[in-house]
Order: sequence, then structure tokens, then C-alpha cells
Amino acid sequence: MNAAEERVVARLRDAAGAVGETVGEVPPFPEARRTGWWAPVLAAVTAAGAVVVTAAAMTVGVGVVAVGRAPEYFAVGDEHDVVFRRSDTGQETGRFPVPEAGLRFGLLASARDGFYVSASADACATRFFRVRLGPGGEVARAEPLTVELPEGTRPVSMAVSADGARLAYGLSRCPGAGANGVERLGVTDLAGGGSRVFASHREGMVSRLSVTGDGRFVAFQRTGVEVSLSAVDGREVPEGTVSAWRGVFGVKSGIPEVWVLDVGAVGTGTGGGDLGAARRVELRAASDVPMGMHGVRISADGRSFTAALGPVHSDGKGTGVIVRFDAGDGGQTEVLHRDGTSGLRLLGGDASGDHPLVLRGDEIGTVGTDGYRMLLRVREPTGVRIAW
Amino acid sequence: MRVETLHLGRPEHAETVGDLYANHALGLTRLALVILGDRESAEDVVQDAFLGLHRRFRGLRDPAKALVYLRSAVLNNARSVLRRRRLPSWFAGTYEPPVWSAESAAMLGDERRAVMEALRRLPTRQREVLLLRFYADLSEEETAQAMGVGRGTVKSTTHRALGALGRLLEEER
Repeated sequence: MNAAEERVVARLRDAAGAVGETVGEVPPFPEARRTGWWAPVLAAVTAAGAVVVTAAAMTVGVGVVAVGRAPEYFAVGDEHDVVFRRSDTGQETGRFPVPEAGLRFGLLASARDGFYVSASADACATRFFRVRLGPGGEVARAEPLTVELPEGTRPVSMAVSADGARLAYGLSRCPGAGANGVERLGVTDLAGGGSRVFASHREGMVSRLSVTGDGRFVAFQRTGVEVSLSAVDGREVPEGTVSAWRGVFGVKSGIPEVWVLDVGAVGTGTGGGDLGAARRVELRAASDVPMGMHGVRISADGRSFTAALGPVHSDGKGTGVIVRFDAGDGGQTEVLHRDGTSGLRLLGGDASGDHPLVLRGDEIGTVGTDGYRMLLRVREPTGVRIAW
Repeated sequence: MRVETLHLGRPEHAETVGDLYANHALGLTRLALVILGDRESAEDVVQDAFLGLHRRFRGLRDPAKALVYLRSAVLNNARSVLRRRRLPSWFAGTYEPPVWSAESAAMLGDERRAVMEALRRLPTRQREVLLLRFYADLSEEETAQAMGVGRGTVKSTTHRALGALGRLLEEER
């Protein structure tokens, strides 16, 4: 290897190492808590009889959910357009293209009064728009919002309170501004003006935001925190306990968790806040719920969390369970839906919090009293932007 | 309750799938992350690889080569994910994995982001050989086994890939 090649290798090692180190832990071993998984015969059944299993598994353990009606329209977006569709037929009813040449849409969220989308023309100039629909789902009005982000930052996740009064966003530094630095979460009062930024002493970002109906509590997950592996210890496993399985597979973390921050008053002159005051809630699932969390949201009333649990394989298969937890103690209160053949990711939900949006293989759907209902099929499920 | 553990062959190779997961899942996930650019996909392909190992472990001619199987499976699963991403989506536009996104630049810094973007522009085989050799620190023989190619191919591909990556990085300046 010559000197030039050695320099390339050094740069490659440095960059790839930095990317790799953003992962500090891995999920627990797939379906580890289902002891039946260990039996090879089940693996054979899964491969050979997937269709048969589906019909049986879809009806098992489904609780009562969804109080009100599901939203009439949903929005899907890419960099150039946000497209609005009917929830029952999938028919396109309206379209909001980028309002200026060079702008690219980013994040998408919804509230009772409309849809919210971020857009940027360069790496560090983010704008926000609110789109209201008419009675037929057409775009009735699109307006820019006044949101002033801290200098040198950009939003990486976003949520809106059900009444549309508060916009919450996780922040990272703009490209070229160096390392990301500490976690920051911003909240803007869209009705009265003014913003408040909460920062912590931990490096990383906050992600997967959701907000209570009144915008007072923001739930989120944290990234960039290193968790080391512990040594593999004993094999004696009390049935259904999370900690014991962590011992078997040597993974110290893996317990689903969500953080909740009381943002209090937000307005002009309210100043900054301490993200370190956020409360950690450990979600304690029952023993028959597989591990691995793929999204969590706080309910509109702030009393519960809805989470997608269970393994999701790269082909979309897996064992998905939508579970509701008590926001006070993190205890499981209800299984909303079980899917015996496909993994589920929680993408969002409506303003009431009663209608989760889930990704199931190459489908996006919702979970209601009648079980799972597909809204649309996608060719590229990863990175999808959807709200309702 | 006692959990049935899976022994991968003779007693001297009595490493269980659980042991392999504890020892190698993190490294394989990091490798998959660098290839794919997003963590969820990386975790998925690694867990799939371990599930595949579990299904096939009794059929492994040499259980000591379980790790070789895992590396190959991760590469194959990652290729499948990348192939799917190339398909046009009727609504979602081109997917940009988070690692290559503007957000990641804030985490990584411009220099590292430039390297990762250049790496992404390489042909799949060149990218894989560089990562296996210089990120995962595998030998030429181990890299050849993981990729299912000959050692000579690894050698020549490495040489071409280093040259190509160097040129791409020069273009960035």
C-alpha cells in the first residue's frame, strides 16, 4: 500500500468508525422471550405456513381501541410535494407543492386544524408551513408560520399539539457547524408567539416527538447515548422477565423507555429550560409481548403511551404488537393489536391519539376496533413521511 | 424454566447463538449501519442474519464457521435493502438514509460526511471490500469468505476501490 492509499484508509477508518460508534447497543435477540421460538419446528412453520398463521394470529389478543372516527384525510410527502388522500379510498384530494423553487420539504406533522410541514432551501434555513384542507380534502389555505430556531440549528423531528397551538421540535446543529453537541428540544407558541429551548448536558439528539393535546407535555426518545454490553451470565431464566433475558444475551439495555418533559409556559421572554428535568418512563410489557420498540407516542390526555413492540425483520416480517402503557408507572394496560407475521413500526397518530399510524411491511395502515386496516401500499417503506 | 440453548456443533465449538449475538451483534450492526446508512435497517438485517443462522445451524457443515455465515448474511441482507431502495417510489421520492443526510453532518462533521458520501458512490463490491478490510479489520481470506469470492478478487478489488475512493475524495476538495 502506498502513502496515498494509506491516507485514504485512515480517513475511511475514521469516518466509518465515527458512524459505527453512533450505535452503542443492539436490541435483544429476536423474539427472545418467546420460548417456542427456540423449537426448530416453529421456524419451519413460520417459513412454510405463513399465510395460515396470519389468519389465526391477527385475531388473538386484540383489545378495544379507537373511540372516535379515524381522520378523513391523510398526508404523504416527499421533498417536492405533500399529497393529501382520502383515508377510506386512498384517492388524492389535494396537493401542496413546494411554494418556492429550491425549497425542499422535510418533516411532516398534523393537528386538528391542519397539516404542518418544514422546508429548507439550504442546510441551515428552515421554514414552516401550515396547510388547511377544505371540505373535499382540497388545499384551502397554506400559510407560512413564524418559528425562529436558535442560530445554527435545524429541526430533526417535529410534533404539533392537537389544537395546533404549540409546535415542538428536536434540534441538531446545521451541517458545517461542528459536532451536534448537547440535546436540544424547542417549543414554539404558534398562537401567541415566542419560543423556548430546552437543553441537556448530554450529547445527542431527541427524536420521535409526540405532544399531549394541550401541548404541555412532550414525549420523546433520546439518541446518541452509549450503552455498553455486559458479560454473558447465567442461563436460568424466570419466565417473562426482561432483566433475565438481558443477562442471557449480554445486552445491558433494551428495556423500552420514553422521556416526558413538562414544557410549562411558552411565550416571549420565557427563556430556556432544562431538558434534564425530563422524566424517564420505563415501559414494562407483559411476558407475552416480544421485545424491541419501534416507536412510541403519548396520548392526547397525557395518561398513556402507545408503542409498537416486537421484532421487525428486513423483509418486514416479524411479530408486531401495539401496546398501551400507563404514563404514570409505565405498566402495560392494554394490547391493542397483535400481528403474528409482520413487524409493526409506529409512524404517528391522529390528534385524538386513538388511531395509530403503523408501517407493516410495505403497507401503511391503522389499528382500530376492527383490527388492522391498510391505508396504502408503498414501494419504499423506509423513511416514509406521513401524518393524519 | 431452563432455556434450551443451541450448541453449534461439537463441544469444543459449543458457542450458542446467544453467545454469538452477545459477542458479534453490535459489531455487525455497526458494519451494516455504515453500509446502509440508517440504524433501523441495520438492526433489521443483523437480526435477520441471526434468525437465518438459527434456522440453518444444524445444516452448517462446519459450525465453527457460523461467524462467516453471519457476515455473509449481513452483506446479502444489506444488498437486498439497497436494491429495494433503488426502486422508484410512487410517492415518497428517493430515500436518503439518515447517515448520509444533512442531519448527520452535524453529528459527524464535514470531513467524515465527505468520506461517507464518497464511499456510497462506489460500486457495491468495492464498498463492501473496503469496509470489511479496513473497518471490520478482516483479513483478505476472511473478506473473501464473507463476500463469497476468491482471495485474488479481494486483492484486486481492494486496489481498485482505494484508487476510486481516493479520486472521489480529491474531487471533493
